[in-house]
Amino acid sequence: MHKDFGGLTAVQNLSFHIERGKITSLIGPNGAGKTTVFNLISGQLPLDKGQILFKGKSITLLSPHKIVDLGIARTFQELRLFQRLTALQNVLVGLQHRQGERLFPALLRGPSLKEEELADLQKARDLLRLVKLEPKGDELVENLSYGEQKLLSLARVLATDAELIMLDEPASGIPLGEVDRMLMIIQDLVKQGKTILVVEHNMEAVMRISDWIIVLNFGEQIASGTPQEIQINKDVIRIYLGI
Amino acid sequence: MDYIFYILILVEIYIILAVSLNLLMGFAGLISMAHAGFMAIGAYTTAILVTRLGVNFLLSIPLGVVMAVMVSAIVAIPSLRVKGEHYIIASFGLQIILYNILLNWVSLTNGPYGFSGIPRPQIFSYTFATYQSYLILASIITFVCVFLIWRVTNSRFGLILKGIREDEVAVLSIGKNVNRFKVITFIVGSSTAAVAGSLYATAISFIDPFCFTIHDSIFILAIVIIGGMGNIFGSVLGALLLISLPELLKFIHVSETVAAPLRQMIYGALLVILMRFRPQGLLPEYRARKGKG
Repeated sequence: MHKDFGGLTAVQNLSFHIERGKITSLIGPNGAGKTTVFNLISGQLPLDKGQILFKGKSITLLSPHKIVDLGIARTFQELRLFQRLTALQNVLVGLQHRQGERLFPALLRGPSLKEEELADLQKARDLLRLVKLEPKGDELVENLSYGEQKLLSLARVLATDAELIMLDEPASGIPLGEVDRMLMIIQDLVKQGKTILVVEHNMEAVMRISDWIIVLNFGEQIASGTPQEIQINKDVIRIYLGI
Repeated sequence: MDYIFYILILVEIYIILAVSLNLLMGFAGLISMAHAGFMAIGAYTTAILVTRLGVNFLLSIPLGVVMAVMVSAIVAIPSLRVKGEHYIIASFGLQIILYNILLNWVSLTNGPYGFSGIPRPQIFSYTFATYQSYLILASIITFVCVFLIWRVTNSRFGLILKGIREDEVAVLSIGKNVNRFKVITFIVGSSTAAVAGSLYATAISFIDPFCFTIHDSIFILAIVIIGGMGNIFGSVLGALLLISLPELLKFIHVSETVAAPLRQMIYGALLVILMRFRPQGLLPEYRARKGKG
């Protein structure tokens, strides 16, 4: 996969590529433009200059839902879960291209729809089990803890069956034990063939799981490399310590 | 007794209106101020087809729906560009436009004179002449409408609508075409109002543009809010309550001139009190059932 950006004031002359089957992390101080990069890739923000290529095809002008269709899905820093739906329902809506989403099948409720619904329930439960939230399936999201909601947001994005999963701060704001769980799940995803792009502030987590790290500052790429390389990179150390 | 059948028919007509508006407002988050306008499309289509062309009432219903589908489809797409409060204003504008078409396209609608003497429905040689018999027909039609809308809300489609109501960006981020859902829902909800209009035309036998004003749209809105947004049965209860309430007024001896404004005041007071103490309406949104998707 290969991405070229350029020209948006939040992100300048940024050009990088993400390797399939690896975990790439985007790090940098606050305001460096990391979430903007996510928003550009996911189609929420229009790109002013440059292009974004996914598996050789340009996705620069596509709307967000079409980009999910092509195999890229993301989580949000602010989660954006459906508070008045249950955990299970949040995962269910993530499933793609279901008959039940179309009006006439929903009205007629034929046997294939019912089969699909049963299979979906099973799939959703499996995903909840993966993030250890199965017992909370019927809880409204507004009743879940922040850590649980974070895990649920992961389950929902997994429901989309996307190939490239972009996680916005998956390890932030949750207790240590849950960070470990989260990181283990992320590493497992790669074993299943997924490609992961992570924005993260938790440096320990970043160093632990990343195959490749890209460092941004003021919307530009300062450095990139393996965790070992980044840890000793003078420019990176300088921007983080403010020296 | 006959009068009670008449009231029940009215209740059913408003059940259809409230349930369909609830689909728009309580599920998709589309505040429509033009629901009375779509009711009018059904009413006038039926009136015109039945009185001028001798079309059977039962056939006029789907034709009224077709007219409403066309109008709502035309309006739905540009209205997507408009968000929030602006959408409400645009919808308000649509209601005014529809009302003015009814009032001024005299060759089609008889303008302010409307249609009188709209005959009762007839199947083969049987005429639903009495309120009692008409109530049976209306009940069947109402049941079908409510059932279909309930089905929509209870499906994956409905679940996604609830998501849209809460957070459109999130729904887009999981690959759903939000605009498509909104357009379809708007068309379905608005054309169901036309069915209520067709029933209304033959129940009351007389229609004019003044039956379908912005005030009538607001009345339907009130039923939805009082009954409970996002709850289909709440709309049923709300319609029952707000239609039968003025009838209860008849037991209190108020003069005719006071009755109508008094009714308005009561509705207004009800709305205010409910919004203050129970904003979710009489029947709150149905809490998720186990295993439903």
